[in-house]
Amino acid sequence: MTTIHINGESHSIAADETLYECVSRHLGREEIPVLCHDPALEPFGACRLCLVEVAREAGGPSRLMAACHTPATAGLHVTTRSDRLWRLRRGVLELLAGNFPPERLVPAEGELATPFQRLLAGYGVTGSPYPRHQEPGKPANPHPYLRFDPNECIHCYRCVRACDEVQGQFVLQMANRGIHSHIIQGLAGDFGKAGCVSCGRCVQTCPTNALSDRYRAKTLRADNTVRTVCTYCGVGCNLEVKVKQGRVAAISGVEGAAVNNGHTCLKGRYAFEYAHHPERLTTPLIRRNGELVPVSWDAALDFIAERLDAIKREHGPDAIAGISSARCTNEENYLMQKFMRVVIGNNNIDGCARVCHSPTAYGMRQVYGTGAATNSIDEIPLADCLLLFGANPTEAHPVTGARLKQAAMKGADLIIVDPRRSELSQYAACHLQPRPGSNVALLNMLCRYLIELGYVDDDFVQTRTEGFEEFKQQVLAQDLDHLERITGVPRAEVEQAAHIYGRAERAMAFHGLGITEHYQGSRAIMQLACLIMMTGNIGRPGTGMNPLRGQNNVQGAVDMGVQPDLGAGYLDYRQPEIQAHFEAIYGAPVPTGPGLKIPQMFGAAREGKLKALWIMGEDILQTDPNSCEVKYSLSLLDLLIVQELFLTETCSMADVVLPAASFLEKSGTFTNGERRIQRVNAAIEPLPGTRPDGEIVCNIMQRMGYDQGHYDPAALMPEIARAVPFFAGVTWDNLDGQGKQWPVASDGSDTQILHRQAFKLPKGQFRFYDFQETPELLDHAADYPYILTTSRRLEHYNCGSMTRRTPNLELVDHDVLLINPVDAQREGVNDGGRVEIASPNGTTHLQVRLSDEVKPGVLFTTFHFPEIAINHLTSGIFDQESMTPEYKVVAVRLAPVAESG
Amino acid sequence: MSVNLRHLSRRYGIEIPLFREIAQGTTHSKTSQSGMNQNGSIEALAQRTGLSSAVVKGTASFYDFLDQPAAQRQTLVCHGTACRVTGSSSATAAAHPEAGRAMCCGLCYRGGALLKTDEAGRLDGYHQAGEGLEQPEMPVFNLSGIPILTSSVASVEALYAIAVDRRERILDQLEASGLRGRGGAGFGFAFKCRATAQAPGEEKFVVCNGDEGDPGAFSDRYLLESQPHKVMAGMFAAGLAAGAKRGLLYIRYEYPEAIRRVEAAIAEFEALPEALRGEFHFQVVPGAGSYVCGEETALLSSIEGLRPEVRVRPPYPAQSGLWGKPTLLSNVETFANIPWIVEHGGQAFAAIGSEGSKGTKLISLDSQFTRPGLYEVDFGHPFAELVHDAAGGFTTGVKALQVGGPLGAIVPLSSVESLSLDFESFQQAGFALGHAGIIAIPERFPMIELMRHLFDYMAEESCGKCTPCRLGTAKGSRMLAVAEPGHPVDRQLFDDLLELLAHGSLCALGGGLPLPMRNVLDHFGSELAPYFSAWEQN
Repeated sequence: MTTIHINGESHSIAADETLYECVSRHLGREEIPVLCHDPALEPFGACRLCLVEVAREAGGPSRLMAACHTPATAGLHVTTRSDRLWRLRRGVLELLAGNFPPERLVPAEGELATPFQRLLAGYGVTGSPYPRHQEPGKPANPHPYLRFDPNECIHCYRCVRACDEVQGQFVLQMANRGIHSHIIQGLAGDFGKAGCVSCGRCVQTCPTNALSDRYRAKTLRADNTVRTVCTYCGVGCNLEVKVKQGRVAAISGVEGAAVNNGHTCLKGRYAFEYAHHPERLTTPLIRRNGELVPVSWDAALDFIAERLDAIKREHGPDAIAGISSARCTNEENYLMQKFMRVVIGNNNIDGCARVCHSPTAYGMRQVYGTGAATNSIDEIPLADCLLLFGANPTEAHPVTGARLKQAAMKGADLIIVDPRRSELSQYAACHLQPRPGSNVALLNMLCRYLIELGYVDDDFVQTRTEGFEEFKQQVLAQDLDHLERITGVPRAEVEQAAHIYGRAERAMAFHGLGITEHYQGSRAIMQLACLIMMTGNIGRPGTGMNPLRGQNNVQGAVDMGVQPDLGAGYLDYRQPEIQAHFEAIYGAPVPTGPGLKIPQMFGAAREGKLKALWIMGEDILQTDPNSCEVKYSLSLLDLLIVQELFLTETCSMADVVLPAASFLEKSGTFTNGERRIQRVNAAIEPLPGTRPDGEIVCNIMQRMGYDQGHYDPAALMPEIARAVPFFAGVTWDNLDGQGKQWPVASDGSDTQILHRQAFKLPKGQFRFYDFQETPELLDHAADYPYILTTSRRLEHYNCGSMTRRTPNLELVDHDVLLINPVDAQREGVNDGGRVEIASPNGTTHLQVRLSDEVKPGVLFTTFHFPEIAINHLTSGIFDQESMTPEYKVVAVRLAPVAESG
Repeated sequence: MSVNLRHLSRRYGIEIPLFREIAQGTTHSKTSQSGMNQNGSIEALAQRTGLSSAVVKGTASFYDFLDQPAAQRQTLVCHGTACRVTGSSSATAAAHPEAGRAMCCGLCYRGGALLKTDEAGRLDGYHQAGEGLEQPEMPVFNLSGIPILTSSVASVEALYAIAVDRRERILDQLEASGLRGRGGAGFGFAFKCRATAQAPGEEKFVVCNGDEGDPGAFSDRYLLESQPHKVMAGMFAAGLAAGAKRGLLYIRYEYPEAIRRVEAAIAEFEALPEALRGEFHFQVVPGAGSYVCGEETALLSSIEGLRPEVRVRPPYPAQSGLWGKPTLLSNVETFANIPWIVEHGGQAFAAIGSEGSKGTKLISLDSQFTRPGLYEVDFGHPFAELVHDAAGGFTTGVKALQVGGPLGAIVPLSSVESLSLDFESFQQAGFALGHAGIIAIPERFPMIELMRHLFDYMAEESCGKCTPCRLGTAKGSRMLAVAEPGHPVDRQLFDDLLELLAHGSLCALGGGLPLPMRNVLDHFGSELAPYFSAWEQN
């Protein structure tokens, strides 16, 4: 028997569900009142509002049970409404009301009711018959976003549990006992000092305004609410944007969203004020007499079309190149590559994947046939081993980082490979700390131990792969002494890691730019892909190889053909049938000559071959390596067009600047790091004077003779679905809600896990590479003895143009250099002092922090603030296969500088 | 209950559980007084344990004797119910104005209890007000034909050896014995033991609840101090049956002598031949001052170093107990019966006692009885015989007996004749036997005071997790505090509150309080009439 009787009606029971879940499923979430329960959290049983009457037989004696934590068992007779239940639930509310500020039992003027206030109203509670008794804790100290008012705390513990069960930060806790208990934020009543990461999940779950935020998100009465997708990293969190009077007024996480289930980081939830920042560009600018002066849209677009036409006439199409943006939508990226290929007529189209995950796409394609994450974030709890290679997700991909932390705390074995000790290290089973640049050597050590210790999945290797024997011989020929010296990682630690990874039933690997942005970036990717493949950790739930994508749509931009060597859908335009495929869609022939990658564009500019560059939303001058050379290259162009939100470093060199709309002002789709195509919906109109990037591309296409109409992502989707094979079944409408993970078959079914039955090649290809020292160190290590490596901080995003224009700046307002105390002593540097660091390419000044997060010889910093111009230092060394710059290894020297003034 | 913290606690270690580390780290030396030092030690603990300071603070601040200025712990005056109704607590407190409070030290047969702390910050024993250290002898009487708990142990080694010898049959014998838990709820022990044995997993625990918090009861203190090997051999045998290799004894802070004697007994156990001990290990986890830790899920959280807030069930400890592992948890007295059952068989045990309550029971009688002390009786023993004959009646005028602690019954003296000492007899009459600590309520002690005392006590001891208990006990306490003739308590509201406490509370702490309240209201209506409105309505 699998039925339960609810108020006399028979209903089905789902596996492992509680009475509350069962009743809610059948009769709606309002049927049983709850205060302490949140579906995103474990049942807790504190508020006791969810009492129901439960009998073993119809009309039999009943017991009162709390529905939130009582299992739904077949044959039970459940009553959810009765006079007695009404009296008891009302009694609970009256007790709570007796400890609540009387004037706040109803919503504040102009605000929405909190869940607590809604229940009070529903049960007719307007006060409390009990004597007042209140012993609230203290309000929290000021914080840029978070507010805590203990007077409204009803002790549901939801904030404490969210901080524990979702974010894993343990900032909030109940202190003392019984009637004296109260919520604390660390010891000092200060979110920041207690290690809070401002994710705001506590605020979202709090059923009163005890926890609220700067924007009163919970009770804000919005004109409308729009679901969209965050733009701050490749996780793809779903956001609910509240709009009031045409402005973005507050953001919260979408509960039930597959990607984030109500969780966000502080960037997604709070760092939106840049959208209305006074420094937003709101009019096109054209350089006249060396100055950027405002012009009308028509004037700017006419100017661009004329100049591009002229340059194309004079120098041929190859003198023009475009850089598209991974922060823009799939549709915009599709249009941008289409523009370059169809209207200009070359393959000079590239995007910021070039500076991050191109090695991933390339390397994984060589080994598996598909250059994308093999599995899904949802599967993290299924894995018993998590290998995190060259990534610091709690800062750079915070919602995924929190999920990894949850899994590691609950007992999954976490292996971290990172030159720097990160937050997750404290939960790791082992942390390998290789010298930057030695990943291939370390992977070879790991492979050797895995083979020697017998962890090769022979069946899998036999049936699904090719080339293992040769690979194995080459791995076994490696000299461990040599590799140990190169990596600086003791072999015993590597052996331990091999044991942990090898013995796991399901091992899931994640990697970031700490593996790709190297001279041997693609080779390390291939080596990691082989390691995963030889242990059979692919094609099953809770396994695989999963790049953590840096930008929100870096996956999608490349899927859409933003790369010079392959067209949309990774189709090789050199093949005649592919040319026919595109011609049929575009209604125009497609170019077949090789295109330029971003670094090659700079080279072509210096050689005088490239005359015009159109950059859609990227600040290459701050973020591309070796800024001096980039600047010089840009200065040689005849025409530099930049679409931007703000006047960035790159804009300062532009001939035309076009004011673009932010993601909050436009629609389209983003594809996250797990191949999930999700709908982006405009929350507000483009700011007056701005246009969505896609609209700008359409405008220029129109002016240059290609009738693309206006930017309309829904109308464009059928064309993309035709062009990109793995979008076959995607429609604008069927993406509503959770989106779809590609490949999407024509019947609309999507794919959570790749390579289940076979690789695309069709067999997995083993490839072996020896370690090679980067020329950066070979050439410069003697004079520049330290290795500088860079990464992100939680509070800021990339070049910081958005986050620096939000209250996040109050949390972090400068970049710092981490230096090991041993090195600091040798160099005479003090904590908080300033140093000059110099590479063969340039110098900069930074404040230092002494930290054993880095080993001696290694320095670490971030690149969010333009004033430190860290990319003046980075080198011109690139990944040998994909031309991704080697950001992670820069030979530098350092010297203390006297404090000026 | 935090799954994450439980995992981190387990990773921290078993030999010295996280709770001991936190307790030791936040038990401040005599010189530390300021909050600064306390926060300093919490931050140091957070560093050492890898937990956040909020988590450490949350745990430490829960307990009476942690995270407190040292001065409040050096001397503790007993404010338990027995010392309260006899007036000895106020006399002792007056003589020691600097002293902190303890809620019953298990010296109810004597009264006027005082605990003092030694140089190391450990309680060094019981004192009599105004006098030096002494250990007042606990009078022990046996009224059973076959004393199971108070008999002397001939050979410690034999206690364990016989369990090893008969290990295959322990579970069956327990089943046949009908042994029920002695903590108060009277749950069948064999069922728990079998459930633990059948739960999947290699690592299992057996946990002895030595947090005898009910004021008025000192039977567990007796067993831990005077019969530690019966308790431990019982855990050992149950562990063999359930597949547990580690036994933890959680003993309340206010029983320093019990902690010492059990630690000594563990040393004796460890001196036994290894072939006998096998892989079994015992350890003591001292409490830190909290009544609710006697609730089984709170006790498990306490050992784990989490806030000892009551957890939802299921899962039950037998499925997911200490550190999420199958755990057989019962009371001291329950375990102490097991060696006898193993030796003499379940049938023999089942032959003792009443229909539904098998074996014998320890009964604690407070200092107002003519012959106070600990009595072992067969279940079913006539209550009146114990009270009037064996104990010789009272030294003062008595109107009622509190049976089974603050959540137990208030039995008017007139009802004693009709009761026998077993779970069923008490339950059928609208009372409860509970853990069977008995305190005489003198004629001169107003029942409204007793009600206030019980409500205040629960308001202090509520873990604070569920709304009815956290706020209901506080509100009730406040309503009673201001009640006086002319300003009576709204009886309807009070009854509604009792109904909410009884049916809405997460555990027996809030859920149990209405029983004594209703007993008093039912049986002492005329005495209470001036304090309650609308008396006729019920």
